[in-house]
Amino acid sequence: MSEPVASGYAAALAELEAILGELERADVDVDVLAGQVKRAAELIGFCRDRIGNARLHIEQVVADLGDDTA
Amino acid sequence: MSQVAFDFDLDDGGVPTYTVGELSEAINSALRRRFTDGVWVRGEIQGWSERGAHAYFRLVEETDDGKAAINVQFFANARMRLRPILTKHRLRLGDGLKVRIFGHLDYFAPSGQLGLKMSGLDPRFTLGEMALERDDVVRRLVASGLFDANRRTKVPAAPLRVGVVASTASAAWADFTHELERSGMAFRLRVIDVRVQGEWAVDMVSAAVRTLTRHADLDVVVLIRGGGSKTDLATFDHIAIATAIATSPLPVFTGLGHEIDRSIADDVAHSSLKTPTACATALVEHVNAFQSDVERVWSAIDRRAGRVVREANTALVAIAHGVRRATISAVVRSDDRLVHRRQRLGVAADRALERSTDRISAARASLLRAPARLDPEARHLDAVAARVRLLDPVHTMARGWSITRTSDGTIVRSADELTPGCMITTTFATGNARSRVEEIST
Repeated sequence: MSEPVASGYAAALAELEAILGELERADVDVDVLAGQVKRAAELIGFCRDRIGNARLHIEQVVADLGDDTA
Repeated sequence: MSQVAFDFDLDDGGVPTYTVGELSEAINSALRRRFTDGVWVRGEIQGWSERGAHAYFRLVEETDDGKAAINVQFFANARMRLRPILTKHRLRLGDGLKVRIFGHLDYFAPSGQLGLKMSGLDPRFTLGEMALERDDVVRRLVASGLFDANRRTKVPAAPLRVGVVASTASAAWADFTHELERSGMAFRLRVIDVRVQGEWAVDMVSAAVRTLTRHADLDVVVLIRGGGSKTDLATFDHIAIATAIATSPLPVFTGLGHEIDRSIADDVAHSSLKTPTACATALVEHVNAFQSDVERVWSAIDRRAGRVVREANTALVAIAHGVRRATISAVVRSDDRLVHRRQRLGVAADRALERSTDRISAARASLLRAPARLDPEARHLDAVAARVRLLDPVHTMARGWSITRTSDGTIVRSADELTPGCMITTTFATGNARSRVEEIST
């Protein structure tokens, strides 16, 4: 998908929730469905990356902090 | 040729012809017969003159029909005899005096003049006339509101600038100035030399009083005279002098040198003293009183000033002590506060440091827990991913579900949308199949 990923985690999550709401409607167009699922998968990947990066970063900071205060 | 002789034969009807000497004798004889015992005459003395011990004047009466006058000879022997009476009543004969006199008429042949040889005088008449005139002047002054006008003027606190109306050749002037000099005070005199008796006295005195009272640089005007007869004093009963005094804006003092009688000038003056010396003394006393007042006031000021300074000094000392005490106390308090604050500072700093350390520890602990805060988020994301996965038709179709479309691509959601014989396309998880509808059942 050529559309850029959202500017931040919160925006990505909001878009993801919106897509989920549309997919769960009864009259969802099957043709649209595949595209929406793909976009949702991208957003999920983006969010996972963000969480992973954050975790990594925090762990690094805390590790440094631990060294300083030790 | 001899001179022609005229012989007038005059018919004189038996009336005798007198020689001048005979006529004079006849007149005197007739006068003696008519005025055997002498005659009393009243009138005003005019043209008084003395030659040797004798005096001569005219006795005059101003009547509605004109003037009547008779010459009077007042010879030395008569004057000598009448002197005790005049002295007793403090009278002095002179111009303007109204008198009732006794004498004998005498026709003086050498000058052809009729005269009266004066030998007696009624002093009570003169005194009465003077009293009447005096009363008249007083009545006029009272009626015009002038009688006590000068008494209402105010003597300045220190009457040192004095205008004097006096005869500077008199003992009055000498007495007056001597008394002022004796005081040692700085009196400043402005003098007008006048005659205080005789013909011009009234005009000179009244003019002098008016002149001096117009001087703004004088404090008081003094009118003095050395003493004299009652008739001389009558000068000062004249309305011209009384008016000059009464209308004066400056207070007028009189010292007219008479112990018993008062003149109208005395009555209307601000202050009347018996003698010029007494007049000077009165001025000195005024200045003395002023000096005493000034000294008393000065003493009071001195005492009060001393007291105020002492009180101020005491108050200042008290304030200085107060300031000293307050300063020491303030310094001690400041010192105490400083010590206390230093102690509090140590404690507070320690506590603040402890609190900061605690907070940092807490923050650190919190920070160490931070990665765990990502877990719910990750879990939520997993749940969303699971739901998305469930919705993916690929997975549904993998379980045997398929999608049916009409020939124009429309998804078929109910058999009612189909007719027998129409073509439909079925999409599976993998691949598609075209088929024809045989039968529809609902």
